[in-house]
Amino acid sequence: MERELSLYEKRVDALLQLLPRTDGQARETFLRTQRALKTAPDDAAYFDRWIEALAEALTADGVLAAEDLAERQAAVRARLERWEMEE
Amino acid sequence: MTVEARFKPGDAVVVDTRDHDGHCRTPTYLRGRQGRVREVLGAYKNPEALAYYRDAEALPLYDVVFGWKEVWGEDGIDEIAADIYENWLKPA
Amino acid sequence: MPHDGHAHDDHAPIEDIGEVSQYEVLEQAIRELLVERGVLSAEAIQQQIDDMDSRTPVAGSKIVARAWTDAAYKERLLNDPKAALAEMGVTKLDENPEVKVVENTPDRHNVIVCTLCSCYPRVVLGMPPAWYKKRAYRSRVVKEPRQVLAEFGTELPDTVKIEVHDSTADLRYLVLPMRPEGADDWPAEKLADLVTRDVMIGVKVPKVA
Repeated sequence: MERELSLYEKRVDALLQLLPRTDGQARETFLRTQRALKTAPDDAAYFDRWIEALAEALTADGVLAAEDLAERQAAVRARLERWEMEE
Repeated sequence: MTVEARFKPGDAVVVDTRDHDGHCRTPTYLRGRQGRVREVLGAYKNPEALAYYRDAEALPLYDVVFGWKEVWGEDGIDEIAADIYENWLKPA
Repeated sequence: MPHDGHAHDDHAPIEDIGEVSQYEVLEQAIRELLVERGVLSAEAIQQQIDDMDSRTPVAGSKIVARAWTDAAYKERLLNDPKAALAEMGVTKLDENPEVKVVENTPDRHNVIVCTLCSCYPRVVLGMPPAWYKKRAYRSRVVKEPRQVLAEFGTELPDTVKIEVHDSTADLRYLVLPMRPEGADDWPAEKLADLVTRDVMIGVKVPKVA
């Protein structure tokens, strides 16, 4: 019996299902990423590859600013680390 | 189906060999291959246009069956069936 | 125990950030930004997750079992799959790609793939398995289907034609396998247990243990 997907994996999957149903640049970026991933090696985890490719494509296409994404990642990490800091 | 279908079941068709930069749903391994239309599936929006515009014209879509030797050049009874849009098919 | 204001022993174990991957952090950041920019809503994302959680191969197995025991239903399933699926409670059929059912016969065995990406009859089976999405399966099953099936434990006589369906467009395919030997008088509920997800993809055939 295979393991159930983690919440992270389900969330990435949800992005992949919903992005093509939106209007605008994010949708085009998704389709472009899908085409690019077709020929990419797939030894790494499926959802990890997708989220990484999406990050690159969304910033390349200007849907998200690279600085905003980097800043938000740092903020997410900081929120996760807060528990360790509160000793 | 309001769109007129160019091919009918039984027709021998060949998949086009053109290159396509954009969103394409015709697999490379079937390009230039001859198959047989098994079923006219209906009219569906052209994915190549849909990739760029939210609305696109509807194109007839066909269930096309390809023989093993035709696709791979090897003997075999197995077959491949794919759903191909009319704009990628020519009469054989 | 000395009370120093930090009663560690009273706390539940604290999650180590080392267990949260860079990809999870990235996903969180992307999702938050996309929601803030109005590209997607948090509700729609959660609803999509809940929807996929609610769809499992059990729905497909009941549909197959009914087709095995109800000839009129089987005809409807093959000729008007949308209506037949709706009869068995499959929801949101209008919002999802159409499903087409392909029947196995003594002469023909069907197996499904999407060489271009990972199209799959999610509306009836739920999430595709990881192997279905990998290049190894997608490229090999169109080129060497018998070897791929053998690796799944499925041996077919040389006289049975394998038909590989490449889901290249808007249709999603579901295999209707043949009813196995040794299950002649079984009720639908018992037959459904024989119908696994892999049987409806076509890499396996149902067997009575």
